[in-house]
Amino acid sequence: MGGPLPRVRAWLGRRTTTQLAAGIAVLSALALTGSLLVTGAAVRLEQRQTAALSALDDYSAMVEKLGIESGMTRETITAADAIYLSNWLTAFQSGPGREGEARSLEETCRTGRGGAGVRFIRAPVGKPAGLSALETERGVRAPRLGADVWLVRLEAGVLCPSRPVEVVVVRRSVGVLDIAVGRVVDRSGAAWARAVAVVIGIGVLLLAAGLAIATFARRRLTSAVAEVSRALDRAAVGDFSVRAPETEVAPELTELSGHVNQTLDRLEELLAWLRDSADQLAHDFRTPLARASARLDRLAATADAPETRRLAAEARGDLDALIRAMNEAMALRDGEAWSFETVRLDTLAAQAVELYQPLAEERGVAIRLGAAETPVLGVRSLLQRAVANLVDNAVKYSPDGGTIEVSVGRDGDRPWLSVADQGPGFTEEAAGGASAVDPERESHGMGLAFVRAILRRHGASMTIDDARPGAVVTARFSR
Amino acid sequence: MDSETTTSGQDPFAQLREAFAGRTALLLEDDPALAAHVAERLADAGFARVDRFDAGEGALAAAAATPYDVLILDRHTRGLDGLETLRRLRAGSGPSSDAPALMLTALGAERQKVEGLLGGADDYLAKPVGDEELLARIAAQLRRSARRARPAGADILNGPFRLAPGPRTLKLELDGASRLIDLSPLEFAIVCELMSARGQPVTKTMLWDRCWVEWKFLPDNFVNIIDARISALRRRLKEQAPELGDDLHPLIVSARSQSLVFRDLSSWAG
Repeated sequence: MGGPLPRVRAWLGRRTTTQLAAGIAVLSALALTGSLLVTGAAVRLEQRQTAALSALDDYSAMVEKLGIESGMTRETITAADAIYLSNWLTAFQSGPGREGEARSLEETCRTGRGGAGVRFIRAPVGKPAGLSALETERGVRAPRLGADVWLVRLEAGVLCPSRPVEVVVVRRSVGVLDIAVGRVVDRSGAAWARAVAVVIGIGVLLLAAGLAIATFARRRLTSAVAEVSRALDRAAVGDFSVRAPETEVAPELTELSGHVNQTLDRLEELLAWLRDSADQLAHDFRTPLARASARLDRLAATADAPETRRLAAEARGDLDALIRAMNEAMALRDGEAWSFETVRLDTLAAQAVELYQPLAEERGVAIRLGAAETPVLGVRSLLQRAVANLVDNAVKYSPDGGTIEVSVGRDGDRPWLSVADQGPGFTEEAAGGASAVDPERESHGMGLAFVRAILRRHGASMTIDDARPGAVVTARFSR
Repeated sequence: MDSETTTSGQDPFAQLREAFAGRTALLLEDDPALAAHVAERLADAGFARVDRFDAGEGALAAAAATPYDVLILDRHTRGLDGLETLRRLRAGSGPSSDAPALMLTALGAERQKVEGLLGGADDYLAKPVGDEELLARIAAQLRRSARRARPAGADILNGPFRLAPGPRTLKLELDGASRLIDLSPLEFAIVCELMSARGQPVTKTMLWDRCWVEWKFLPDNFVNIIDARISALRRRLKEQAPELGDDLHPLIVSARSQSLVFRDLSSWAG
């Protein structure tokens, strides 16, 4: 399962753009180095060929010279002849050289330039003439340069006192003579230096251009992403006036920002629909509710039987519960319930504590507030309801003379608010409002369900922990 | 239990009959049953005439010709809606263009309330509204339009009490000596609201709207919250004004089920 291609794709998918760019830079550096090596080898070969051609020329001249001096045979040749021939060769090799080549051995040794000639001639009798190292250092045969051509490396001190040189040598026998004629190979050569300079120059240019383009593209992309993020951020707090720029910023993002804008348009439309439908719902609900409550009032005012009055009062209570539930549902759907602003959680807590203080005092319940300045992003009216409901619940369920702790603080940049009471505590299902068994508990659960809905709207979570005795309700916000 | 205390004399709501006697009201409401109910309540309470309209255009024409003491407007109505009707009425110069207006509507969100008040309404109520609430609110509007004649910020006198709305102080003036009653800002706001009503009932919802202004919603148990505050306030007033005698305390008494009245002390002779 999953051949190499998908795996490579997956691997590439995990790399960031910066990592990919660095990878490309490493690859380019490798390619440049490789091309330098290849160029170097080509230049070297060319220089050896040049030297080989010169050596072969030398050899041809020698053979021609020997053809003229035809009296030289095994019997007649002397060591002096070999010296004569060697000297002649020296003179010939030091003749008018080609352009860019060294004229003399001295120049070759000083500059490292090639072109100087070397030779070694051994006759059947007497001492050989020329550079004896050409006989001892055999070197390697180089058939690519020509027949009987050898590549000989002469260490420092052999030919030149301070530098090793490479020599291309033609080794052949003419008649009774063993002849080795060679030329020094150009050491580095201007051609190679030029090639290196050009390659490095292009490399630097490419690198600079690449970096500049990458920086530009990155900046453009970053600012375009920032624009899109800003539009989304504003939408997250209920402001739909900002749209992501669709063109003129970064072509890579045109499709994305187009989609983002379409989604924002759709969301705005849906919210408008929700708000308008909430208005219509409010009207459709409240009008019959108003009629019913008017009729109940009239019934209660005109009824003589106590049973009728009791029923009317109970029905009135039912209507009130219905109205309350409707108000809560409307509060969550209403238009401004999407406009977030910075709200001070500690101020809301202080207001709620002050609001419920007299109610708590009547039963000897103390409310303690521990709050540091804590701003939170949210809908003020909804957060006010949530905090008030939490404190209200705590007061309701505290035993007489108990203590309620209201705390507000921050974990890093995540604000939280907690309300701890010493009441009986309650079970999870009652808190969820799903299956409140005890009617006394029902309103507790319902109130918390509304708080939970408000907190969810704010991307906050609510946890209920057992405080033994009592319960701690904690709201944790994400920003 | 002092929350059970009621006025020793007449029901303050029955006394409203005096304030409502001979008054006229315009009612814009397109639900016939509700319109009938409200009109009947107002007539029972003493109103001389209640003109009912189910469309804004008719109401506008009537208001341009007739001076009304109070306007009661629904928002969702046939033709011109209540808010637009009120805007045009306020922009015009008819005999009712300055009449106090009360919005009585199904649209009860904070945003809509602000819209209504900016549109020229003096009060904004979300349906359903009980009779007690409706009558107390209308009485408050009539008081306010009557008070326009008097200079703003004048001291309110009630027996030995002198309430100065400017510096926000309540003083007890006895035997030529004046003594400051120490109240928290909230307590002063409550006393100010109740004393401004001059013996007429103020519902707890009205108190909530005007004294707990930073709260943008009505908590489920606001009645308990207000009752607890009022109990504490009664004790405070009794401690600081013991000279009035036990039979006048508490100074703040309940009226019907949801209203409060600051006792009228104008006949108190020390």
